[in-house]
Amino acid sequence: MLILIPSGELDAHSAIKMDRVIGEAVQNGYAKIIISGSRLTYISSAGVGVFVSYLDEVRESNGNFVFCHLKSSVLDVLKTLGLDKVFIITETIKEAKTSL
Amino acid sequence: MEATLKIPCTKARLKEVRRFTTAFLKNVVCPSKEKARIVLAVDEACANAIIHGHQCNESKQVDITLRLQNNRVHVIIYDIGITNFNPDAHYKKDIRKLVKDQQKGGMGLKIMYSVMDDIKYRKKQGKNVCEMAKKINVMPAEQTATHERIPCSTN
Repeated sequence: MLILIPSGELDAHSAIKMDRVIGEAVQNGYAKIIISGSRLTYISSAGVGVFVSYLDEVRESNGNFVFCHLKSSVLDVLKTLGLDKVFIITETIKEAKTSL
Repeated sequence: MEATLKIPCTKARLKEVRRFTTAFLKNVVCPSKEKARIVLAVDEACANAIIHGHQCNESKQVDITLRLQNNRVHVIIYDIGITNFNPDAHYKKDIRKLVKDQQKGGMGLKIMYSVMDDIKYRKKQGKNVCEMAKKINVMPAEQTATHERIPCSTN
């Protein structure tokens, strides 16, 4: 299990770095990945797209992405895209760990 | 009220676009959630212009104009990128298909169409123009300033 705590803004620019991080994690065998949004102040579709693009791959390895501690503005982006029904979203890290 | 920002076509400048839009909306009285969603829509539209319109060519430029008129926020984005852009082909894609196809892109337009009331793409004098508008509730700046005044202690 891997817990990531991205900080700041995840937009089309910073999504490249996140893509590299997730790509390396998946390549190294991590499939159960928790994203704590406690320090994530903004996310755009490009940021969300990173997780979308690896979702099938981690699920095929019996894993998933779980988001927790999301700020309301970040959660709103996931809801706007209907991804709150695709990703697992929990309040706390403890709940996130339990869900995996 | 109107403001314009010109940026080179690089994703690193999207932060500036968000700051510019946030500053423009500062005196507009509407729920902060609505403001955040407008900032997001402008960010998405500019990202599309930079990435798909100009392939991140820094020698090219994107112009963003924000206007507050008749209780509507108008957003006008000019670029000279690709032609024959068909937004319908993108924003109507099912989100589950995007997940299945492992697509990183295609969601920006979905957000724009969800947030804004009107969106039009057209050509004008050789440039692509993306025009978006959203109705909001506004209050004069003087009243806004009173609302935002922080009470201070006399102790």
